[in-house]
Formats: sequence, structure tokens, C-alpha cells
Amino acid sequence: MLVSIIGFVLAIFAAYRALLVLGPERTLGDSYRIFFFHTPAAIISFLGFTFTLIFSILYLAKRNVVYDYVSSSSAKLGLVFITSALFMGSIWSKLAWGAYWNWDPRQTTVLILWFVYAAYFALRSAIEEFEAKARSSAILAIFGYVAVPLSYLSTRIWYSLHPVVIRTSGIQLEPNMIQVFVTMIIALTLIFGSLLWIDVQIKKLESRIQEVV
Amino acid sequence: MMQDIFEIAFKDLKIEFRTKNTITFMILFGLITSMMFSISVPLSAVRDVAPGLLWLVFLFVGLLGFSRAFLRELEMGTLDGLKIAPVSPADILLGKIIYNLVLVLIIELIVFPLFIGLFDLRVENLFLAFGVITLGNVGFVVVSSSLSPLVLKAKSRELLIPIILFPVIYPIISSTISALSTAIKGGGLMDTSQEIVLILSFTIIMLTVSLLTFDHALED
Repeated sequence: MLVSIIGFVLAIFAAYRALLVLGPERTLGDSYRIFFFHTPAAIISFLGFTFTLIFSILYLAKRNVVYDYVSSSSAKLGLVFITSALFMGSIWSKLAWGAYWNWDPRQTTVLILWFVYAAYFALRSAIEEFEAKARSSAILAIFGYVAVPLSYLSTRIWYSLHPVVIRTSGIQLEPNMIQVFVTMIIALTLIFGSLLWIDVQIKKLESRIQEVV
Repeated sequence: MMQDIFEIAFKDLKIEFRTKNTITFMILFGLITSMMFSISVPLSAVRDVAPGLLWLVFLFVGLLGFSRAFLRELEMGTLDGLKIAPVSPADILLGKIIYNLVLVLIIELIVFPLFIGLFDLRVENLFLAFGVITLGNVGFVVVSSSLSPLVLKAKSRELLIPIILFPVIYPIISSTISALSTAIKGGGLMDTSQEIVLILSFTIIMLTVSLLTFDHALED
């Protein structure tokens, strides 16, 4: 509970600094402010999908139902975060590149990533038997994870308009921007963690109700 | 081990060629999609879009056909027999992959020339174009053979298969299209080396993941 409150307070603080305190950027003007929401959301979704991969492997190895709860919940949150990053990205793309959608490698691979996890939930909803559902979707999550490094590396492999902010040579941002950016990532990680915890608790309670009924 | 793999592939081929159900449907479907594409694309645009369409034909045919290898076992009630047979799950998977590869090679040999004729396409580097399609299909067969058992217990399986397959094989789809258009426009093996390496390494990674997870996929 406390974690989620800290997360929300930090997110509001970072949003305030990103929208009102920081000055406009030289080339992008005010539109660059969406960066502090768009990029952290994408990073958190990658975190969520990585959790899904790890807990899917753990489920297949150990067959503990809680691992399935964690992997499906974190895929759900990852899907929410990547959807918001996709929408914010296309709004930004309209302002910076002139069109909402232009099949930039980054846009394409993130859309594929979105389809992977949409398919994950399509598969889950189509199987009734719990054990088969958990097992099949865990295997699909392992196969589908390939889309995560693919979309992360897309701007480096193919020619892309999408900027690469964090390089091995350092971060291409001013110090006060880094502060806001890092605050936002911490805030969203805390929110992600608490939502994940709540969702897993709900699933545990649901399965207990099923047992009683 | 090798013997078990070929035993399974041979068994499937024997069943298939007794009725020729799957393969004739796949060929017919391939011809119908080629015809539809040919009707709907204006002549002036043919050269630009043909490589993508040619690969789409095989993609559609494969999405519908490759999963038959496991779905037929389920429909004929022989899946449990296959599971308790003294062969390892990895051998079953490799057997099914070989069976699907034989099917797709036969289909390619029939549909590829007909497509080129239908579109009146001038393919500068015929062998490379054919090789690239075959390579793309190898990767496609590997992934679809290993993912199709996942839908065995699902409702509306046939509809679900394209949904779960397409995003996973996206790297193969995009690299094959780009290598194919290079080959049709007259590029050599060196011009497509990047795509070929990508398809090969992707296929090897997917095959490794399949072999590691397949005994879970076939469990009851």
C-alpha cells in the first residue's frame, strides 16, 4: 500500500517537473516533454515482459500456480504500459516526424511486441482447463519474448528516425532532465510493483473462492 | 533417435499420401490466393508488390496447413498413442518438422512457377529466390510445428494459430520479403547475406527453444 502511494506521489512530482519546471528544448520545443512519460512507460513494459519470461520458465520447471499468476499479471501490466507508450509515441511522432504512424522500425517492432502479448491473452482465454492454460501460455511467453530484444535493438539494427537516448557512451540529456527521467522510472517501477502484487493477491483470493465453492 | 524421427515423418507422409487431403487443400488454397492477388493488383504495380505477395501466399498456406500435423492426430484420436509411444518428445517434434518440410517443398515446386506465370514476373535470380523462400519456410515450419501443440486444448484452434504464430515469426517474414525482392531484382547471394544470416540464426534459436520446451507442450 505504502509503496503504491510513494509511487504515485513520485510520479506526480516528476510529471510536475517535466511539464512545468523544465524549460523548452532547443529543437523540439515543448513536445519533448512527452519523453518523460513515453520512454519510462516503454521501459516498464519491457520490465514486465521480462518478469513474464522469468516466471513462465519457473512455472514450467516448478509447476507452482503462483508463478503463473505472477507471469500473467505482469504480462497484463506490460501490455497496458506498452499500449500507452505506443499511443504517446504516435502522438509524438505526429509532432516530430509529421505522421502518427510511419512504419519506423521502432514502431513496427513495438507493434509486433504488442501482438505477441495480445496473442498470449487470446490463447489464455481460449483454454478452459487451468493447467493446460498456464502451461501453453508459459511456452508462448518464452517464444514471444524474442520480440522484446528485437524492439529494443530495432533502432540500432535498422535505419530508424527514433532517437537513441541511452548509449554506452552516456546519456544524451541535460543533468536536470536525467533527474526527472530517473524519478519517473522509479515512480513507475513502484506503481508496477504494487499493481503486480495486488493483482496476484486477487488471483490467489479468486482461486480460494473457487476451492470453497 | 534418427530412426525414430524418420519413422514419425514417414508415418505422417504415408497417412497424408493415402488421402492427399492436406496437401491438395494447401495447393488449392495457394492457387486461390495467388489468383486473388493477381486480380486485385494493377499491372503497373506488379513488380513492386509481387515479392511480398509471393511470400504472403506461402505464409497463408503455411498458417493453415502446418498445424494439421498435430491437429490430425487429435482428430483421429491418435495423439495419446503418440504420447505413450517409446519416442522422446524431441523426436516427435523433429519428425513433424521433416514431414511439414516435405509438404512445403512439394507445394513450392507447384505454386512458385504458377505464381511467376500468373504475374508474368521476370525473376533475375531464380535459384536465389527459390532458396530464400525455402529458407524462410524452414524457419516458419520450425516455429509453427512447435507452437501448434499449444492450441490443442483451446477453443477455435484454427483461428488462434495465425494469431499466436504471426508475431513470433515476424523477423522471418520481414527478412524473407526483403531478401526475396533483392533476388527478384537481380541481387546475388552476397546482397542478401544479412537477411539469410538473420533467418538462419532466428531459426536455430527457435529450434533450441522448441526442443527445450517441447516435452511440456505435449504433456497431458
